[in-house]
Amino acid sequence: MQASNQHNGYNHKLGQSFDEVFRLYNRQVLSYCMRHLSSVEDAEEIAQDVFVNLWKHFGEIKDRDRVLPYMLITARNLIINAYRRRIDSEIYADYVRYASSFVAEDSTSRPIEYREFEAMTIRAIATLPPTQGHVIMLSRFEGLDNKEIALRLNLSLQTVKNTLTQGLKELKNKMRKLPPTIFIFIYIKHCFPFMFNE
Amino acid sequence: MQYEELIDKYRRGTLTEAELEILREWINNADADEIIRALEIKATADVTEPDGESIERLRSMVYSRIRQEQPDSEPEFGSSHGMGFWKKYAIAATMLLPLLLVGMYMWLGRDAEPQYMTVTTSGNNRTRVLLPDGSVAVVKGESSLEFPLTFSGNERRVVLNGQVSFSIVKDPEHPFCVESPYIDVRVLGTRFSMLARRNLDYSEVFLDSGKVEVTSLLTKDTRVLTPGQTVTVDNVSGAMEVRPATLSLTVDWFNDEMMYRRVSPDTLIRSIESNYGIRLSADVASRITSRFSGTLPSNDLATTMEVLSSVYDFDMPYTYQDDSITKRFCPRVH
Repeated sequence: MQASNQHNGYNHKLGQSFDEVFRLYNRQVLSYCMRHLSSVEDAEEIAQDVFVNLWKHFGEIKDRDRVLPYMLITARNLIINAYRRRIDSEIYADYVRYASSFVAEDSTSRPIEYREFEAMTIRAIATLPPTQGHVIMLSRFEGLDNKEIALRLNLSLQTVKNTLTQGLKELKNKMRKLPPTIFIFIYIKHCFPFMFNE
Repeated sequence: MQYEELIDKYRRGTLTEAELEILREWINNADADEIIRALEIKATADVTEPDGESIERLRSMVYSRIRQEQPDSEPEFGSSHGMGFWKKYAIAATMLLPLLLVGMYMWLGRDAEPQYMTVTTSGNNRTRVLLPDGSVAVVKGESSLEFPLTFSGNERRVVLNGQVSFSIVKDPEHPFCVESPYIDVRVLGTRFSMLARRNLDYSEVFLDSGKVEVTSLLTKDTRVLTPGQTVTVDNVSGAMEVRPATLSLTVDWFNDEMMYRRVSPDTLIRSIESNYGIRLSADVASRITSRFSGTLPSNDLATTMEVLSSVYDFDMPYTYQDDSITKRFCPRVH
């Protein structure tokens, strides 16, 4: 980090402390987030990220007028990234396949919501051995290909492929054991012609 | 506008696969301002006014995160580098410190899933670990054993990379399972040792008492062991071979014992040398001429030498040269 980034919570050029800035703008930032995200939790989390980011770069800001626009642009980018990450994810595609092929047994049954679908999947993944779980998360939630995963986790490409195949099989089994009223379909992509090292 | 409708369907979970494709194409290529406009929720005013609680939560989270920030690390937030992305799913991990005996590996799911603990040993260190159900594991040398702080669910599951000796509390309702890089071992109540290390070309399980089931992860083959048997698994092919542990050396770290069954002099010598990190001098080694059966301590060189000196009839060595790499035992010179 350069010298200009050392700020200790106070920016001389602005004549403001981080704390002051927080008090001035927290409502606006939070409100902006809430206007674009359907859950308050998500909005709070993005707003947090915005302020933490501001803290990291607080020493670089030179002009009071730039503070709020800087934060709102950060918020905009984070919000778009959050949507993008989910829309691009394989798990979400699985969910769409599940929901769109859902056949209602009666007028009151509905496909479960994505959040619950995701939570179930994550819970199932969490019961897998750590490396398998990690590889699956990177592949299905973060959309990395096998090469990228191998690099990230410092494993061989073959290991990643094997781990992934095995992990998804395991996952499929686990998901099948869920309550009968909920049918989960995990689609294993054919493109596996692919942890925290322990 | 078309994309606003798609976003609305996305929010309600009513997208079709084709629509998802369109949405993906758009969100990855369109202009940021256009995207954010389409993302704006056109709803009633009360949606967008934060309440006091929200702000308080925001404040405390922001400041606690700032306190945690390392001043010299690269700024990253909500990103998918390293372990950072687990945070998105409320799953966090801390790094294992290589030479410490104990590391913490916390794995928190959305509904407070089991937290895991990892014990790591290096070199010739040995750690005795009490598992949550009262079972004991002795973890030895360049190994790591991971286990939850409480066993929940149908199984008691741990993850191993390396070498360990287990003494497992009997609980038929909850089989104890060891996962390792190439084999899974499943036990009821028993004492056994196993060696299963990632970059080794074989894995091995020796059963002392009780019953274990070993599965080769590559071939999905399973073998059940009876006491006194060893199964060796070729990590490359996944092939399994069960044999009685008669001609083998078994190290039972649990009891700090090395059990020899008719081992050759060479095997005996090499096992002592590698266990203690010493070289036996040629004079001693040359006295060991016949096969050895018996049990020697694995953590007491003096007693070991006493036993051997009486078995092989050489004088108990009483001098040794201590240099930083090896200790040598020399027989008394007559």
